[in-house]
Amino acid sequence: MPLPPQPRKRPGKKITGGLVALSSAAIVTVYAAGYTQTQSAAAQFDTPIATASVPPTARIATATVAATRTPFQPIQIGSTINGPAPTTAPLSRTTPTPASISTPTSTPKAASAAGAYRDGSYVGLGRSRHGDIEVTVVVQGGKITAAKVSQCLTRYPCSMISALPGQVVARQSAKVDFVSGATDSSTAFREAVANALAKGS
Amino acid sequence: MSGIVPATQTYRRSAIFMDTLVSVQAISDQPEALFDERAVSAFGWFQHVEQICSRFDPESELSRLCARTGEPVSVSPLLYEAVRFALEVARLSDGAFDPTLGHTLARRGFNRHYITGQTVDTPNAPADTPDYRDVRLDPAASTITLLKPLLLDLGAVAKGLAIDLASKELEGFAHSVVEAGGDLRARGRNAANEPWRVGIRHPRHEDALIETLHISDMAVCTSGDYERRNPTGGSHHLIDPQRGVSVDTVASVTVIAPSAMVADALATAAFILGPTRGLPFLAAQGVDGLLFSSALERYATRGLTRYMQ
Repeated sequence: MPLPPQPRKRPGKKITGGLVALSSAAIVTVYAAGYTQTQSAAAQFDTPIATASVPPTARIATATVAATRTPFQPIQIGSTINGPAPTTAPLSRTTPTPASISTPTSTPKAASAAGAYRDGSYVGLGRSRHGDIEVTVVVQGGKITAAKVSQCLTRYPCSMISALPGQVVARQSAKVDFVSGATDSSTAFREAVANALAKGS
Repeated sequence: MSGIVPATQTYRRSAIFMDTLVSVQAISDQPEALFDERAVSAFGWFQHVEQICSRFDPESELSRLCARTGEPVSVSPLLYEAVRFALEVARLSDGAFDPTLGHTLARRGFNRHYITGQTVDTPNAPADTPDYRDVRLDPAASTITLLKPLLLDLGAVAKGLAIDLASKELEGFAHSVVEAGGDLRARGRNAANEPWRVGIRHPRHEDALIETLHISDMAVCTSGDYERRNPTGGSHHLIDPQRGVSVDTVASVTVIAPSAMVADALATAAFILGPTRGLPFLAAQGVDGLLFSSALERYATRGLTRYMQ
């Protein structure tokens, strides 16, 4: 096999230590300094799930942003699809939210202008390497009040999955724990949300 | 080590951040509730890093920094450290890795998605194209100054940093892995009391492995030309800053390093440097790596064998 010329010694050892040391210092610094910030960020987890007043396409594009403001909470796999919006996300609370997300007090008019959705719960399917994702989007008062993965993968509320069967790895080889380079985008999630919203618009 | 891993449970939680699936795993005999608590903190770091470093969020601290030119901007420790690290990798790689590529990426993405919908017509870089030397740091004041209008892209640093921070949240567990979109940091051993087995994706076959590494207490990151391809498949996001075009000589680079931050950034840098310069560069940085050329020729640092059995 072709090998590029390599230095006999590793003159970079010291430099290396430099880069590795720099990253170690950075991680420690950020970890220490970021603690209080994380706490304040944690406060945002209590932000109610977005009551979106943006068009579906824009909303989907910002799904990640919106989702990261939602509470961390375990999701019941296969929870009732037509169930109510999560009570753990009190809609009366408001905290600073990203520009793409309106507060719960925003008028329905905004939603109407963007094309309001009909109230109800809508289920959409997306496909990923991990298997199908089923997303349930709850619309109340013409706005999206909740969107979550109801099967296979949880997301929105940035969530926890009790079991992610096999993950990428088992699909490819039972002999490895993880696969490096197996990039997985959240395309499936967005696709599922889009599919769900298509039914409600 | 003759003992058996005293753990009986493998805990795993997943969520989506940075447009990718993030998975946190630990093997432990401690209660699941404790793991859940740490997992929440670990995901919190991904959220935090994403909020600050996203190039796609106009409200991110990174975006606000990039809106100002020629004046020192006071930034958070996270953004400061991420930029400082990116600039250092840029310096060491002589600009092969360059975090000021944001405009180039944005311009190409824009052309591709909204105007032509076709393969990018790559314009020659204007003479005043910014590079990493146009970013100034003031450690005493914790400020960053952009000397020219430029758009920082911390994509190759932020994810690794988030992985490392999340991994730090799991220090209480002897055996854990934080994985985000095929990049990971592993601690301890797997459920079989062996080093974690990390397969390297075959660059041309999505469901095949081209190599398997045995990893403990190290990070593994892979940059591949199969990531973030444009719709026509004609180019990808790993762009040579000096030529302004996608690198076409390399299929994938895997780097093993003590931190995901280092592994991720150096994998990107080695990818851009190409087969003949990339491997010596990795060796000079004291990390191990594995590179497959676009013709699937295999290049590896000498130290890689320690991760193969």
